[in-house]
Parts: sequence; C-alpha cells; structure tokens
Amino acid sequence: MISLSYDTEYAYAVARIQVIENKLLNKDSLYRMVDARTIDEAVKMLQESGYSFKSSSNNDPYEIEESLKLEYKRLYDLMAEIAPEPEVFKIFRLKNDYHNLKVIIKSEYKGYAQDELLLDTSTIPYSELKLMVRDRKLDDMSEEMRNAVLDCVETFNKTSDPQVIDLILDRAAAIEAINIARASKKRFIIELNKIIIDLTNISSFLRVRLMGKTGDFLGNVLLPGGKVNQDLLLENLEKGINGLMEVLASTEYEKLLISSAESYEKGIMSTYEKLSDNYILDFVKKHKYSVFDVEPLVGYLFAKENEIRNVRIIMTGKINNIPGEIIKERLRETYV
Amino acid sequence: MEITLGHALAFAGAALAAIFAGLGSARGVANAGGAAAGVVTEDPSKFGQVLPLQILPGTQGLYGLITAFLILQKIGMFSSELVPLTTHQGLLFLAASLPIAVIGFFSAILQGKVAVASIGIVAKRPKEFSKGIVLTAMVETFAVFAVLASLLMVLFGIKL
Repeated sequence: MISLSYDTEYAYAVARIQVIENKLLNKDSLYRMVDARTIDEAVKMLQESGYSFKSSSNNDPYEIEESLKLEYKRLYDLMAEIAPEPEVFKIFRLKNDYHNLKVIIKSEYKGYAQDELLLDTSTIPYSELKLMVRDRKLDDMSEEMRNAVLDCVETFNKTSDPQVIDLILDRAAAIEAINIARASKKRFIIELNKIIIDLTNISSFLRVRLMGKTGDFLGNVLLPGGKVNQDLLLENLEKGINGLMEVLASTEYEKLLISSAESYEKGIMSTYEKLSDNYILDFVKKHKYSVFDVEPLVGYLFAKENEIRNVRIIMTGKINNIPGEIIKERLRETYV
Repeated sequence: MEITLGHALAFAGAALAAIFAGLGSARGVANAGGAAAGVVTEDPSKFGQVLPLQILPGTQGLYGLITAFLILQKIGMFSSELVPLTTHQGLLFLAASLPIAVIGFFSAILQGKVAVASIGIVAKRPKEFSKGIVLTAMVETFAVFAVLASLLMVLFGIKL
C-alpha cells in the first residue's frame, strides 16, 4: 500500500512543478533584461516574473544579493514542502552547510564575524551551526561533518593555513554527498552526484595547472567518488588540457573540454565554468519527463538555481555598465 | 433450493471482476488525482481540463461492476430463486470474469500513468489538452476488449 501513495505524491509534486516551471525565464526574457535601458526596468521585469525585488533598491549590489538569497530560500522551501522524499534534497543543501562551516571556522580564526556570507539554505540553520562550533558541541552533526570540524581545528592549530579548512571540508562534503546519494538508491541522484564531482575535479585540474602548482597539491584538492579516475588526472597534469582531452576522449566530457580549450589556453576559466553548468543542466533536462520520481523536481531545482545565477550575472553586469553583448555571452543555457 | 459449489464459483467470479477492476481503477484515479491536484494548486482555472483526465482510468471499475451484475443476474440472484448450477457451470462463470478482472486491473493502472503524463500536457500547454485525452483514451481500448470478452462469455457462452 505504501508504494500506492508514493506514486500519487510524486504525481502531485511533479504536476505542480510543471505548472511552476512555466514561470521560469526563457532566453528571450533574459535577453530583454540585458537590453533594458535602466536597472529599474530590469528589476520590474523580474518582479513581473515573481521575484521579490524591492524597486527602491536598484543600484546596490548588496541589496540585490539579499534579494537573490531570498529566492534561493523560497526555492528550497518549496522543495521541502512538496517533495515526497525531502531527504533526497539534503544532498543539495549539504554544500551550503559546509560553506557555512567554512565561514564560521575561518571567522573564528580571523577574530571577526562574516555573517553576510552565511547561507540560509543549509540543512542545519546557521545560527545553530555557529553555536555548535563555538561550544564544540558537535553531537548533532553527521559523523562525517563532526570529524571534519575536529580535523580542521586540529590541523589549523598546527599549520595556521586557512586553506586546509577548505580542503578538509570540501572532501567531507563530497563523501557525505556520496553517502546520501547511495542511501537514496536512486540511479539518477547517484549519477548526477558523480557528474558534479567529475566536473569539480576537472575544474581543479585546470585551475591547478593555470596556477602552475604541483601534482601533490592537486592530489589534496581532488575529490573521491567521481567516474574519472583521480590517477588519470594526476598523471596528466603536466600535459595540461590537451593531455586531459586525450585521456577523456570518447567519454561524455570530451565535447565540453574541446569547447572550453580555446579560451582556457588564454588563461580564462569562465568558459569552462559556464559550459560545465550547462552540462549539468543538460543532464537534468534529459530526465525531466519521468512523472513518478524525483527527476523533474531536481530538474526544477537546478533550473531555478541556474536562473538565479543568470539574474545575478545580468544585474551585476548592468550595475557595472558591462556591455550587453558581453553579459549575453556569459549567460548560462536555460531550462525552458 | 440448495446452494451448490457452482453458485459459490459464480459468486467468486462476480466478486473477482468487481474487486480487481475496481482496485486498478482506484489506483489509476488516485494517481491521476494527485497530478490533477498539483496542477490545480498552482492554477485553479485548470480544474475543468484535468477532471476528465482523472476520470478516465475509472471506467474499468464500472466494467467490472457491469460484469458482476450480469453474472449475478444470469444465475437468478435478482429473481425469486437462484438458477440451479453445476460445478462446471460455476467454473465457466469464474473463467468468464477473468478478462475484465485481470486486464481491467492492469489497464486502469497503466491508464492512470498516461493520465498523469497527460495532465503534464495541461500544465505545460493547456491548449493541447484534448490530445492528452486522446492519448489516455487509447488505453481504454483494451479494457473495452476485455469487458466485451467477459460479457460475451457470460451472456452467450454459458447455457443454463
């Protein structure tokens, strides 16, 4: 009998998302925003499509950031409300917990708070997380997270290098995400998580190569659990993106690398970042037509996050008077 | 009049037709109803469009009921006395109920899935909703075949 209501709940959630999806901004609307004469006009367009922007706040990047944060919050609240298995979505909120941990632990060492960097779309509210870290009362954290925090404190005290905090927490976040994906027993989630890890690892490879650092450094940064073997990345670091293209030829990432190679050779990472965002969106898009499972919900989550990212690119571009053509160039693909 | 094993089997046939076709329909209509509610939550004006799609998987339950009714009528449940039945005749009624019991059950569930997907059409392209009705109604064909098979057997196949 349980499977009976399970299907019905998904049918409800997916149908609801299908209606909500209609409100996503398509490429034309984004372009119209880019072409808006004033920032006010662009803000009005956003308000019309459901964004809660205040019109008084036009040129203040901080206020725009706050409005976008609110959109993220609304998105995750919606998912928590309608998803029949909200625990699956933990995998996407978790990265925000680890982001918050980085901010909290680093501000402890810096001696001043940076609360404006904290995200309220995490699984543990940041106010609680702050107290947990301050009082070192880590019992309510997952084992992975607790060990990572303890590790951070211990290692930082030895090395005083804030970078170790990032490394330790990124790795713990990846391992915890893998565990959640496995526990969900959903092939789509497992595959999606692997793709995210792979793309992050390839990005690390490219960055480390650009910075001219060694394989040892890359070895610390690479995350476990992807489909691309870590050793392959380490062995080919010296050969750069051409070596990587050779190794990953005939894999799903080949096209992505070929398309980003030209600008990467000039030292530009943003093309790769844009294309890898597009790659993930493309993957979720391909699965959006199942009606009794989590795919369309995850699809919407990624689509909306992607849209918020695009809105940020447009708004910051407009505030900084960046020419429309360049802003359009930077925009990610859209879901609808 | 004595009640025989034949009567018990005929009753079992009537029950099977009503139970399984009804169960399938309940499930199909429930799933389609979930999707319909999802659409209506966001856009109440679409109620009229999703309703026919929700109802479609319900017909199998009706076919099961009709089959059950005709079996019961044939064995005389609605007249003053039951028609005497041999065990073999009872088994024939039981066999006659199987097409709508089995096909009704599965086709209603499957039709419910198509209905859910078609409610997606209403969500995305409300103007094309009649196409969703056609797609969903296609599954109905096989339920109709099954109920025809059952009824032919009950009405013409079993000589009392």
